[in-house]
Amino acid sequence: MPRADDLPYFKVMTTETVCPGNPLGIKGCGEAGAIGSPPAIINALTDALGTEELTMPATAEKVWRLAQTARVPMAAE
Amino acid sequence: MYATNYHCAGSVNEATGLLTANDEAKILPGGQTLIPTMKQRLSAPSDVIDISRIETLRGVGKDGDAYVIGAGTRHAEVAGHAGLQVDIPGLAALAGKIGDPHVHHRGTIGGSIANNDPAADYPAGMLGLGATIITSKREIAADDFFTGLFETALDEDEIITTVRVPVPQKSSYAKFPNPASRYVMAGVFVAKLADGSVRVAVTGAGADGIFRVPEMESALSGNWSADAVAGIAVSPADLLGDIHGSAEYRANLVTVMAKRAVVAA
Repeated sequence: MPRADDLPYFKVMTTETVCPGNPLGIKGCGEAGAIGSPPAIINALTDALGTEELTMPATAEKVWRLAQTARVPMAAE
Repeated sequence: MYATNYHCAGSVNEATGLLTANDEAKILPGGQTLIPTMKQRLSAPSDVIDISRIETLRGVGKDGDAYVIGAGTRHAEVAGHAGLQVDIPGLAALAGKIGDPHVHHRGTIGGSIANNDPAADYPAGMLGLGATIITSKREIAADDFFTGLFETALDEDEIITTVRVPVPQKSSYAKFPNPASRYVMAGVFVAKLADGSVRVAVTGAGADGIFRVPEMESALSGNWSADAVAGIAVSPADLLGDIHGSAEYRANLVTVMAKRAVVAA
């Protein structure tokens, strides 16, 4: 779980592209999508562990327990 | 926070006098545990005795084959001490792994030891290195000092003044922090002392606080390697199980952290 002190320094810049479709040149914006990452991570885990029996969140303990029953040889611990 | 009386002690004698005179008084070393618990109204001392300005309680010095560390020494001072980094690298590394930068510069070794939080790091270092806790009254071996969760051998009117840590041949500390709070879920301090004896001390995992693992100690005495401890598991029956991790998971972490500590030493 990343926290504030894990963040690198970064510089914020903006780009402005005026929308031609309305007099004010504005655009709507919803929440940026983060929906792609959970299935990618869970699919990687279920593939590695050889089981679909993994519910989110994939805590370290859940993954460890499944690894015990799946008897998957693990590279590091 | 409830109302309290603040005293700024100028000496250890003044502090112990204030402790004796006020039944519900608490010592304020760095305040990294006491102040948050007071703000949460989990702690309500009638009097708070600030010992953080007593200069004689601060500093790291070498005395023969041991280091003497003042109880008021901040974690950052231990982590950054050039002599400790060379002679007792496990202890310097342990101090550097406590909390965040704010805690590093306010929290003290004496405060951590006196509080004996089951998820604190320093008690494992003291037990693992066979340190001696020196108080306003006497000297107490680390083996006798830590008596249970948040319990120590300290009397009500007794203050830790220094700790004496013998220089070992090897020392190392590995911990698995809770990903959110960063408090230790299982931390293992390993040391081979000057006389060749081995100590393995575990924090964060024990149901009764820190403990040693004699099976790992004897295994490492003959063979200092990760393989020596890989097959040794502590019993989950004696471990903490909570929302952050079950006793079985912590038992596994103890073995894994022991292996990592041995390799790093």
